[in-house]
Amino acid sequence: MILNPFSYSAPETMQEAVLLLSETGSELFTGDQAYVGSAKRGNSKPESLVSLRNVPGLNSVIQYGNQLEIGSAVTFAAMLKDIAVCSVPVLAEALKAVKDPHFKNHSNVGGALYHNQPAHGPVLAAFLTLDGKINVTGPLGNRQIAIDTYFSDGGLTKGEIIRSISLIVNNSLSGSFHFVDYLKAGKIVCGVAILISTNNNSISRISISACGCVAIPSRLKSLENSLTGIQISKENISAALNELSEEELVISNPTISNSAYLLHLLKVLIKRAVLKS
Amino acid sequence: MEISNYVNGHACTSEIEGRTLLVNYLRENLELTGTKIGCSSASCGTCTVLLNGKATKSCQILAAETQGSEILTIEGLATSEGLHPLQNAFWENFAVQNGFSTPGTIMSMVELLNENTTPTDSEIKDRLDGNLSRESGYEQVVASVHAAAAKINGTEQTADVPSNGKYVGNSVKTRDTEKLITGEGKFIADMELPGMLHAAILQSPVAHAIINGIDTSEAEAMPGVVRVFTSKDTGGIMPMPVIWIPPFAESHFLPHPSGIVPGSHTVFATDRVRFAGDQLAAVVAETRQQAYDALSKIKVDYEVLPIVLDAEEATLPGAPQLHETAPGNIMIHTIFGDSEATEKAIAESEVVVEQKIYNQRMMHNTLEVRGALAKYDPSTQDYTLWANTQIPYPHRLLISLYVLGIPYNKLRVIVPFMGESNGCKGNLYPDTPLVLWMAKELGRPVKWIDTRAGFSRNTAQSRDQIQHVKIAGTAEGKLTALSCVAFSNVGAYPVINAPGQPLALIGRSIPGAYVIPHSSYEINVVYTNKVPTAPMRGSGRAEAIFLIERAIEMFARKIGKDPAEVRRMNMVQPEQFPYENGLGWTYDSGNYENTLDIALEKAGYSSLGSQKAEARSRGKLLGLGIGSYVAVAGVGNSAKMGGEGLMSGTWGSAYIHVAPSGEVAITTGAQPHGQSQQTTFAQIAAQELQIPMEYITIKHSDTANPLYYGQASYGSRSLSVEGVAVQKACQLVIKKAKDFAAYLFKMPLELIEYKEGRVIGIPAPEQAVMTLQQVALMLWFGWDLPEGMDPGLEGSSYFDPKNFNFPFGTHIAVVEIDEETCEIDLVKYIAVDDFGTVVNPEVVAGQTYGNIVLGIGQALAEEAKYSQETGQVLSDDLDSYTVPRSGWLPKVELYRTETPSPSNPLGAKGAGDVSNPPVAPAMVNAICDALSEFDVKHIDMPVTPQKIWEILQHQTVQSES
Repeated sequence: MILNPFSYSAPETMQEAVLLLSETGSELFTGDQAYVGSAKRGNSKPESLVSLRNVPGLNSVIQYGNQLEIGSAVTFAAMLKDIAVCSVPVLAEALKAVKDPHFKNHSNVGGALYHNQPAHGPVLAAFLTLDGKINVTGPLGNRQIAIDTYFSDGGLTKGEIIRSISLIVNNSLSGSFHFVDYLKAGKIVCGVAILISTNNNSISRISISACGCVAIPSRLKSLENSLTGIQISKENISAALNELSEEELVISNPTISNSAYLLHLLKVLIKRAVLKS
Repeated sequence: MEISNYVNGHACTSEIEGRTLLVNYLRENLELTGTKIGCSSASCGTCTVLLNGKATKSCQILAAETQGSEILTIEGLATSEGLHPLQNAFWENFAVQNGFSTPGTIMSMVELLNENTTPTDSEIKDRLDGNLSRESGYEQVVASVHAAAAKINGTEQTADVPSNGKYVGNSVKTRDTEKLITGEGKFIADMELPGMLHAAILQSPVAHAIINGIDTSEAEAMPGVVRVFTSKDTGGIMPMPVIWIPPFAESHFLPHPSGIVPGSHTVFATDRVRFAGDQLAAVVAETRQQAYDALSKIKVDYEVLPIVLDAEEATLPGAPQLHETAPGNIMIHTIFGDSEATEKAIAESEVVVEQKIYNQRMMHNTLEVRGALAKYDPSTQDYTLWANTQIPYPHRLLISLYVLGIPYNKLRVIVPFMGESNGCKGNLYPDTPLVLWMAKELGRPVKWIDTRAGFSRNTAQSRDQIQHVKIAGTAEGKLTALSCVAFSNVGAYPVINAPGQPLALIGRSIPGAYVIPHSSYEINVVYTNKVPTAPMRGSGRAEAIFLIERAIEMFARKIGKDPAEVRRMNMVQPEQFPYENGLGWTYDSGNYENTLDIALEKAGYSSLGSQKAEARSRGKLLGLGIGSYVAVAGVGNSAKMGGEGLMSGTWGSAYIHVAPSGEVAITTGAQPHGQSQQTTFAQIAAQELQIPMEYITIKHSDTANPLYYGQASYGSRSLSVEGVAVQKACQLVIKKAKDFAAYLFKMPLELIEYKEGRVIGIPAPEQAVMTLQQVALMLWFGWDLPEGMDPGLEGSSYFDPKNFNFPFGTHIAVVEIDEETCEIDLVKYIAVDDFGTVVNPEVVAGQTYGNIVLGIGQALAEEAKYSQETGQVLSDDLDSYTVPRSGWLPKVELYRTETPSPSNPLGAKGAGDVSNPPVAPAMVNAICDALSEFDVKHIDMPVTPQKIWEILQHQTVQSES
């Protein structure tokens, strides 16, 4: 039950949607079910809700050479059925880590970026690792935002709408997603999305993002720097991981109260991911 | 705004609000109530429908977003050709118990089979991840999906159904199930009456406070609001009664104006609230949405008081006091057994193990929340109450006599289809008589359906006991003594029978399956600022068996002996029955060691060492845990229960009526809510009367049925007490038929035989023969009756057993713990149980799966979490209170032995909840076994990976220092 009443509209063009969203008290509805949960809890109290369901062009996955553009209305379930998406292992594995099939049917790219709920974490971590670029339309026209900037700088301005996310697919990198599903309840308390390339058993390039154990999915750039160039061995990885500290990250999870345990999980998963590569 | 879409193939148009959820649109606008509301937070899946072919939790979708969409609900699944293969398969594979979660689960599986007609176990369990089953687990659901897939593919194999040629002992398909798999069955939230109003109840968010004032003016002015009630209006309503008053112990209850029983809380708190959830006001409005909209406008002025949440701390000097009548917050203090002799035996023993155990507070968290619907007819002064309660007759008595003070014969209580209870619906809550009273006050029917968050605050919780345990014995492993000093946290008020749980049910059960020469149990039942408690599936026996099974495990490890062998050398032996356990129970029959042997053999116990080594090579710590149990069941024995303090009889009852048409109707005192008594009792009657089951109707769930009183279903009593009453009712009919036949045939009674539904004069079987129907017709005519015989073929029967019955068994869990992450995988689960005579094996299997799932939940995850600062329940939805999902469980292996109970003529023992107690100790024993090399002796439940990691960190730090 939603206690706050609101009006609902579903414009048929992006321009109309931008206009409606620019009005005071309006909020965007991407079709992601996370919004309803937020409204039930009273975290979202719009006067009017603007749905994107009739806006064309948001529900497709397009591949241009090594670039993949995924529309904001594309659901997790649709991504899992898309050959181009599934050719990106880190993203495919992250999508599979989302357990609830209903959630996959009704969670989408835009919803993940807007709401950033814990269950969106794996996909967002994969986007971060892939250096995703968010394509936005707003009152001042179109712009592109790097995903890590999107999270660190507070996201969108009033009236802006996410159209899609662009990813660069680099087949020379090995990608994977590792996670701990606490109590097998679909609650990923720690997840790691990783892209790595090696040369003679040394790491030539690595991207790592964490989710679940951090308040906002985060790219671990200082750790990437520490790991780049090292020979892959348990000892070397552990030494690099020792530099990872709670102070550097905002470690937190609603299910796990012990941040030291969360940090431990993060290190274990990164170690396993690198060794697997 | 207007919405148009296609629901179950029909074009539909409705006027809705922007905030209307799809589930409400389906249920309220289209009256498709097969789609249920369970958690409202996307956890349980009871609201699942297919939206454009996709499995969808309809509580998470705005109805407005379905414009032009195709929606399929459970009501649209069957076609003119019949039920969908999944619906049939769920029925035939006993995947349906109370049926509340069934429609949503079926719809999720429809999506799966639409995409994949040959799913593996793993694929099925993955798809089940969005749907919870609280009562029956997932084993029979997985089997159903395989069966439906085979049907769709045309690869089904007709297996020979095992049959003993009788009704009793065969897995007969359950009755009423078709309504549950089609969405036709109406649960309390699905019910509507003309002119009906909706209520919402305000619960205190503060755990302990003086109420300085309540301002309802803004709420009263809200659209659709009819009345707002507070304690100013309800002064004439008496407090809830308490009906468990131990005569052998000092107790400190609250007063009750009846002078007959003690009291508990009132329908609204007056000047003080004592837990976050205490009721303060109710809004009654034209719609449920309007009622809840207005509820949020009520303002309460609280003067906050200090709180106490821990039962042991509540008894200490200086702790906040909850009730003037209970100094030190002690409700009851007593001792079972000879504590002095026990302590002496402990002091003289070679080996003593001491351990503090906390059996954590659990929440029943039934997927169906509680609700009530009431109406009052001023022309007849008749009250009618519909409620999802286990105890309709006690509701009638307690509400009329002790709460509202209305004539017993003017109150009718009806139970519609009811979701699982797990014990929480076996109480009388203040909301229920309040709804009835409001219906009379307003002159219109009133319905109240709780919310999930409301349920977490006002529905009883359970367990929550601190136990200081000592177990003692010889160095060779023979037990000599067991003692426990316990503190039971029953929350802010005593709910009707709640005081009984921490007393006899735990206290007399702690020796478990073992011969222990000296044992004692000292119990403090304590008030705190938590939600009141009540029995929960496994009630009392769960706490007792956890205690003894953890204690004997620790004892065995201390003396360096095999825990299985220590159990074996102490178990009650077959020749010792009837066996007095020293604390008040007389065990009836069994071969406890046999179930242990079977379980060990099935678990591959002899190769445990190599299993551990293989797991270690994969970075896993493997552990095996045993849980042996014996559990009192079959309440039963009214005099004994009266002696324990229960202010009620506990006999079973049945009324039988053979119509002139030959049809048999039996009203039972049992109250089905998933246990299938409609089926199993008909099996008993069909076997006894030797007529087809189709001729027999089992009536229940309505106090207007022709039955003196029904003592209801709880604590695994139905089959062995109420079922026997059914058997006796049939025997009563047979006796009268034979008496009548002897008169008509002019033969001595000893020459009359009852066989295959006929009375037969043995000397002339071709001529002197009448069917039961013919006898019923002749007795209905009443033209020619023997002297002293009344017309009609009907009567009442009662059964009050002389002793309880004692099902038993052994469960084994095998777990693997990841060395680094400390994640726990349950890799094997073996259950060997003995429920005495079993009437319907698959029904019992379903109950056993449910017990196991609940026990695993308690061991690994479930816990009612409270804010230590505010006393508020933090685990107020199914996200924050974790319930086992399909992926937790390996293939659960069930085995049974069958030792009839001498306590009743059926030979039946309880089955409904008794196989829950061994589960949690088996799990924790397995975890402690896996961690034995780290010198881990005990971990309190729930045993989470975080707890294990913290313990191992602590051990590492200690060993390094």
